[in-house]
Amino acid sequence: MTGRVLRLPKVQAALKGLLLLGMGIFLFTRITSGTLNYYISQRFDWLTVAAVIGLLVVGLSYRYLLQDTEDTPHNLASEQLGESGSTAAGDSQDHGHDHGHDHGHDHSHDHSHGHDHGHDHSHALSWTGFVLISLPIVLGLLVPPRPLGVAALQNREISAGGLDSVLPAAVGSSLVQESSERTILDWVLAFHQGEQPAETDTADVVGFVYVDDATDEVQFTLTRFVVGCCAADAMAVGLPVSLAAGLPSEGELEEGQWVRVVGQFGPRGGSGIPVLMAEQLEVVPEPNQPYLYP
Amino acid sequence: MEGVGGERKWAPPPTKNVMSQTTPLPQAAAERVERRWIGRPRWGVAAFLVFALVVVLASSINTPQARFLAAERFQTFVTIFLSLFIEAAPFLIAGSIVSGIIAVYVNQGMVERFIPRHPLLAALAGAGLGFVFPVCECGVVPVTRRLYGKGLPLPVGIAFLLAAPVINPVVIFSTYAAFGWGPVLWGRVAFSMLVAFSVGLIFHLARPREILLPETLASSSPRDDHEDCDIHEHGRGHDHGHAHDHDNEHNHDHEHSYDHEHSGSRPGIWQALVLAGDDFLDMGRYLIVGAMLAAIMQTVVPQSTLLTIGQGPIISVFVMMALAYILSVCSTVDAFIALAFSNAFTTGSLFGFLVFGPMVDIKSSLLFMGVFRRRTVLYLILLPLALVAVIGVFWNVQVGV
Repeated sequence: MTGRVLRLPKVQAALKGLLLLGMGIFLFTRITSGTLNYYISQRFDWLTVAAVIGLLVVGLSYRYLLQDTEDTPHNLASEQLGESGSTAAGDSQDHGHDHGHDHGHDHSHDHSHGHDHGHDHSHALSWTGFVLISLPIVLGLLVPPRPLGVAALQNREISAGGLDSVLPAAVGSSLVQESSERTILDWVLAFHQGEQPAETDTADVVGFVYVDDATDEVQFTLTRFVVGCCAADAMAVGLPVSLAAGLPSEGELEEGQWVRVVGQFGPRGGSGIPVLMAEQLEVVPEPNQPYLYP
Repeated sequence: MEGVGGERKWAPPPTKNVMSQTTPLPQAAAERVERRWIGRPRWGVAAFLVFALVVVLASSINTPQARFLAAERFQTFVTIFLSLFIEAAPFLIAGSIVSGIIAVYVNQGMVERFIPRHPLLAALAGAGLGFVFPVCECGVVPVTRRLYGKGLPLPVGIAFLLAAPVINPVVIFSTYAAFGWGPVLWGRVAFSMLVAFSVGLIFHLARPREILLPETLASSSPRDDHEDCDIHEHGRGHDHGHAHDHDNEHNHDHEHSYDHEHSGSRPGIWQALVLAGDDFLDMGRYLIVGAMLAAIMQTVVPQSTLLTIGQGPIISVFVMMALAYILSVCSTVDAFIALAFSNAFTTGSLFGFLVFGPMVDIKSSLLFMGVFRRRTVLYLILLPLALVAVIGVFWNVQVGV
């Protein structure tokens, strides 16, 4: 039964239009809620805005299809006729689409236009098609938006090696020099370009706690994801952190917890990156921009 | 059950070869029916099975710790899936709108006038067509499909499909931004042209009917030359079916009323937009399945496994191609990702990533399913794979660096 309803041209047009509008609105809510950058890089925000506009305009254009259908009141009757033909022919509901169509014509030639209209879209979507398309919306609404976190690290390396090439020389030279404004990425890049931490350098960095290969001197890795274009290409960078006495120990820190660490760099650790000797550590809320961008 | 039977039947019947592409065929109707039987719904079903599997896997683990982790992993999956989708959606909708505009405003004569006749030139033109339609790997698919509907020769479309994601201003610029002037940039452009050109040329020998889905071909009937019939092409396959099931008079009749219904009351741009919407939804399904697969791979398969097995001049090329296939990142930005590997991998292996990736990845091979027959999709994966592998290995062994 449901399959037949779906084949009505009006239903198709309405559902398609609504789906496109829904998708546009879904993307729009991601923009307004500020969670868009959980998924894509800031640089491409304007693309999503363009997509929202495109989807809304395209979705609205289906209105015209709906109006057209209203002009031909007999199409519903013909649809039913055609379908009864198909049922008589013993087609299954899901697959009998084309059969039903032809049989229907054998019975009633006159109804062809209205009928045709509905089927004319060789792109007519089935229920599964509609559900599939709405999957991003459904998943996006059911699963609360979260940036990549510790779980995503399980099958990713925290980049220490190979990172020095992430930025071409041109970008590298524009590296933030003011030490207190440097991000984890800036530090990691600087160290990979051979920079030695000066005595006076004080790091003030925000990241999340990743307790993986904790050693005696390194309690956790302060980690951020670096995103080039979207979360699919996220790469983790991290600074090994050693906690000074009096600061919450690693046991008290929850993995994935966002923290701000202030301190100076000690000797190079096992990964070739100087260990950040934390002098201050405070728990901070997740930043609005959870990822870093090269 | 029926689906399986249908698939076996799906190999093109030999009789079709005799028919010219432009004649309305009874086979067209039969083929459409066959396609329906094995067609879209099964992809939906497959996607759901995969999805269900993920949910079951994520929820079947019982210790609280594991459950937390599974939930986190599912969260990661959703984030990566949505990120791929959100990143690709603008390009797909743009490609669909271009496709809709082509459908309404471009007629077959125009395509024929601008595409050279000689197969070599045609394939070359296809490889360079990206400069006319600057689209990435998601946008290129609906555009190609529409151009096929307008009578674009097979090799041109294939070359366009494979080359356009690299041979366009945006991607060339982003590659330049990442690698600067150098062998990577030039090699990427030259080898993409070369591979696209060669594969296009190979398809010169094939018949469109054996390569393209009936729906893609559907509109290449002479009747389309009427400017005002353009929306009509959308349902071409159906009409052919009727023309043969019933007498011609009826067909005429119906066509008239059809034109009244549409062209009369709707300006062309709205037609274009409706067609764009149809295209987006049509292609969107493949994109979503592809993004889901890519997200699952990224959530489940550790990157380090790939990278640690991937050394040596031959294996490394394949590893980079595999990585490009799995990551499915848009060609406009993949240069920046390749940059992350440029230390660990040789230039030859980077070509595996930068040349093969934009042509074929999980997402785009799924999208190809909406245009080509399945066997063709396989060729479209394997031919570039083989050619790029040869290029990459050759570079590693002969040129080094």
